[in-house]
Amino acid sequence: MNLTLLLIIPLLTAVGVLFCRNAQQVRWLSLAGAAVQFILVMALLFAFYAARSNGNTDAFLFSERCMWFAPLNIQFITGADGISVSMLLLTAAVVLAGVLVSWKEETMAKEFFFLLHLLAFGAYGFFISLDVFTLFFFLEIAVIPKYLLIGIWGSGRKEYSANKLALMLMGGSALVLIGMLGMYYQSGANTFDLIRLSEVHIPYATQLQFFPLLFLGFGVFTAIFPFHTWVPDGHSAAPTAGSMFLAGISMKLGGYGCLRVATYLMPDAAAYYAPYIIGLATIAIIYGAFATLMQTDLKYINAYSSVSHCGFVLLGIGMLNQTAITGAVMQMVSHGLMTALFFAVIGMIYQRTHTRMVRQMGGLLKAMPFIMTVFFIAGLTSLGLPGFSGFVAEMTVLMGAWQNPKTMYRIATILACASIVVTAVYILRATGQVAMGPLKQHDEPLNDARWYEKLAAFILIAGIVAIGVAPFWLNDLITPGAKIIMQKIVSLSR
Amino acid sequence: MTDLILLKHELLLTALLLIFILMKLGKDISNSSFLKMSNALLLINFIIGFFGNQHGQMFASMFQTNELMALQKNMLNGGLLLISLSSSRWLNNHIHLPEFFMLIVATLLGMFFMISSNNLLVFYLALELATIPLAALCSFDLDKRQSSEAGMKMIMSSAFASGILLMGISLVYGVTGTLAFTEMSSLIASDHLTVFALILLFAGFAFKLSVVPFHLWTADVYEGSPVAVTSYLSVISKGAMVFVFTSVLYQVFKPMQEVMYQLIYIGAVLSMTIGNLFAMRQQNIKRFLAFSSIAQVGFILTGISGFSHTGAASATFFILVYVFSNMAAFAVAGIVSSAIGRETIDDYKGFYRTNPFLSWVLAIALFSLAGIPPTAGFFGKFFLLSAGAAKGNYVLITIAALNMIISLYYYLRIVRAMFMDKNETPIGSVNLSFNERAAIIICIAGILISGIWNGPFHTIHHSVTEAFSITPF
Amino acid sequence: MNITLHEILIFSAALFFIGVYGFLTRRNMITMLMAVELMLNSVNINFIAFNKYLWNHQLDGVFFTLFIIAIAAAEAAVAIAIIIHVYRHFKSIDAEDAVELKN
Repeated sequence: MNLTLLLIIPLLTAVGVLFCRNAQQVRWLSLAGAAVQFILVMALLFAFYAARSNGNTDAFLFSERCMWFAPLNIQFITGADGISVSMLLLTAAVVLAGVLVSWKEETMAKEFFFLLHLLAFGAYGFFISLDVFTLFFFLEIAVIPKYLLIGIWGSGRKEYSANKLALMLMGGSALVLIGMLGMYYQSGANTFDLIRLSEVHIPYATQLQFFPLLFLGFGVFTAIFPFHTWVPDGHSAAPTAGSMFLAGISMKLGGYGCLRVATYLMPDAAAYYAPYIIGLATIAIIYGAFATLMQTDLKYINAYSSVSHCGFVLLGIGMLNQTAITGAVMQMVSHGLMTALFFAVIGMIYQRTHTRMVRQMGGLLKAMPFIMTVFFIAGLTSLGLPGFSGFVAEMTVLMGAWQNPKTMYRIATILACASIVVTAVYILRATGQVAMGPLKQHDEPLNDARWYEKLAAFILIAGIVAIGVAPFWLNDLITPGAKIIMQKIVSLSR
Repeated sequence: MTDLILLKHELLLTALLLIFILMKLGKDISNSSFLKMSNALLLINFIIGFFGNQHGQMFASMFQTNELMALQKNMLNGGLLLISLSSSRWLNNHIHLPEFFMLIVATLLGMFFMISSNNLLVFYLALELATIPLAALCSFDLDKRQSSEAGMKMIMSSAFASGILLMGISLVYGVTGTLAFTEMSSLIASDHLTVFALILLFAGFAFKLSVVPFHLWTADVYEGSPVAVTSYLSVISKGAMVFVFTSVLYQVFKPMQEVMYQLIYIGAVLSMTIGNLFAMRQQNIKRFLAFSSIAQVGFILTGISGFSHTGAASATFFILVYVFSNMAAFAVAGIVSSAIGRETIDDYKGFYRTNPFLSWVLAIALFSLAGIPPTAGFFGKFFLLSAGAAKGNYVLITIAALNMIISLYYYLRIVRAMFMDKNETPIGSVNLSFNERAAIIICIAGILISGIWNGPFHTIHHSVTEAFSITPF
Repeated sequence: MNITLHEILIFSAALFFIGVYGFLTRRNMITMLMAVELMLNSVNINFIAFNKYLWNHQLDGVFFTLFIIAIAAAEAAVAIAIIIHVYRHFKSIDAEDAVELKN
């Protein structure tokens, strides 16, 4: 299985889109590209299982490397472990659903789909890179398409939000840049090769100096507490597919980076800074949940709840044990699917009712039963109903967190648990107001979902249910990866 | 006679200069046919530049050349060709077209000698040959008041700068008793007088490079000059100075690295910060690009401060990237300015509706200047910063990284104006001539390819290593 | 009476900084140009003095002086041409009057 295919296909699709003659061609080409990516990732999943069951216990499978810039020892290394495969699955599903949801995008369709595929290109590249330079390269590639997507096709205060998002994310990546350069020179290894860096022991002082930069830098992408403000504005201003990509993929880049680069390479510093990470994560969880209570715009509700949900990811990473880290990755996948579904369905509702304000809606269940069912599913996943992925993921994080006997950690865990109640409040209130009661929109033609919308929802729901009902496959996928990270932490703290 | 091949680049330019003079003296030819011929000649000049390069010294080692210098000269040759192509609209309507080419080739000749100089006397002569015609070029929009003011500011400040530079040179001569670089570097010791001389020399360089606090002339001259000259100033003239700075000052003042590092450190921090802060509030796009180019010099100095082969290579590579990116930006600005006559950023509102192609070109150029992947600017900035980080001064790297965010802010301002803002009276649709289209496509291809493909950087790094092994650093 | 190198250097340094001062304070373009000439002349004196007192066996400094004089003439020629051009536009050779370009 050649991982670079995952780079070539989105790139070819993106370039191909530019040569299309009309919107019809653009969307079919996009769909074909996204479908091929999805099939490739599924093939990758089964190839991965096959390799593992054949007893291949390498940390990273399908690894390939070639020298890129020899004078600086920058290589292009690809490879995947269970964590990256699960992130790739998420990416492929969200991309496919995103393309389907934007089926009717008519204004500047070419540019729109070009940017979507460019964003996908960045995300795929990020998840398969095993070299910090390449990782950084793809991380930054994904920023500008978001800026343009929000700024051109967005709604509301789109220019402001786009600017804020681009600058904050670039700020995050600037921190990553300093951190990685420091790691390059101070580790003594003079390489960006992730595997090589994980083998050398980076001096403790260097770790303490550069871990916060890397963690915060990636943390900005995943809405770590003081730097979460781009999330609500960016998500709510973005077009539907843009929000899905932002919350579903882009925020996961940060979580993955925190785990793969910061924590994996600098375990000592991770242990040292863990209390701060947990503190920030807990604040994000609580703050996000309560801020959601105040919102009346559906997109803002989901955006703030994303802050809260992504707090669980950071909480899992900060707990530094195998269960919690597995849970963190599961939460990334689960939240990615769930929030993409949520944004997709909000987009569908908005297209029909032309409002996103909860108070202006009501009784939509009768008018569009399919969309409302999807809405319920997304909501119930968000509040952690057993049977859906949200429950599995958050439960795993919390179980992992409880293993940590320190009082402060216990308090953080309890607070995180409590936030689920708040989540239930806002989710049930929103779904109730939107779906039940008398119909408030009379003058709008409220037809139900089209085939492309149904297909998009179906793909995401399939993922959610597959994880919710049978979590073991995902668990088996992630655990070995988490184990490798844990081994480093345990072996070094001894 | 075989030695003359070492002078190939310079001889070619001299021949061009003579041809231009003869064409001017001969029977009247129309601007468009002159332009065709000059473009063809520049293209031939550019192509021949790649063949038969050797290394060696001439004129009692006053002149030296090697693979790296040939490469740098080729880059500048290519830049001149791009300028000539992209500003063909403005050139076509100018009554003194032949003189433009004579002057610009003369300054380029000066820069070539400057790059190749191995002696302070040759260096000074070459520097003046590069600067004096440039001042005349700045006031080349003969009927515009701003242009004459720009020329005046250019000649005054450059005369002042060469006065300071000369004082430095005379002190160095007093201390070492020689003007040859190779002998000088072994004679230099870091006593007070030499430090003073170094500071004066650095100030002279800083003037030409427009390093803060010696940048005050930059914005006015850039804004007032015709766009073709502005792009020449900001790309080629600056590039040549960077080349000379890396090779000469590195080479000669190697024993004084510590003092040099302090100077470069201060210059880099100030240039980045001040350049960026001023760029944020500019309205005129040329003035805006002037301040952004001041900030870019700060980044280049960050790379140079690494004092390593990588540092020199990354600075050279960045100039290559900078030629493409800045040239693309100036090409769009110049085309719009000469076709429509509008130059402020507000004029670019709604530009995408009328000129999608030019909008993407400008956007890609700005992204490259801001250092966003996959454009070459990302690689350029990254290499500069990683060369600078080798010294272990993370304060400098942090300031540079923060400045990248600030610069992104104002580059996005233009992108926003083009793509997102609405405008009642947008700039009308502009038809591109073949020349302009060719220049723009070359620039965009350069921006997109020269970074991802590792060939250019490897070539540059290789020739830097070669060059420094011939004349040890 | 014997003049030492020190005295000449002090003289040339004074001349140089008078030139710098003049350039920075005067606003008449011709005067500014003259100030630059002062700076260049102080450099000339430096070169000659260094050549005479320290490096008597060679002629580098003297040659450099000759070239500076020649270049200064060329520079002045172009500068005055530009100043005349400015004068045609602004009807003044005061640098303060030629201020089209301000942010």
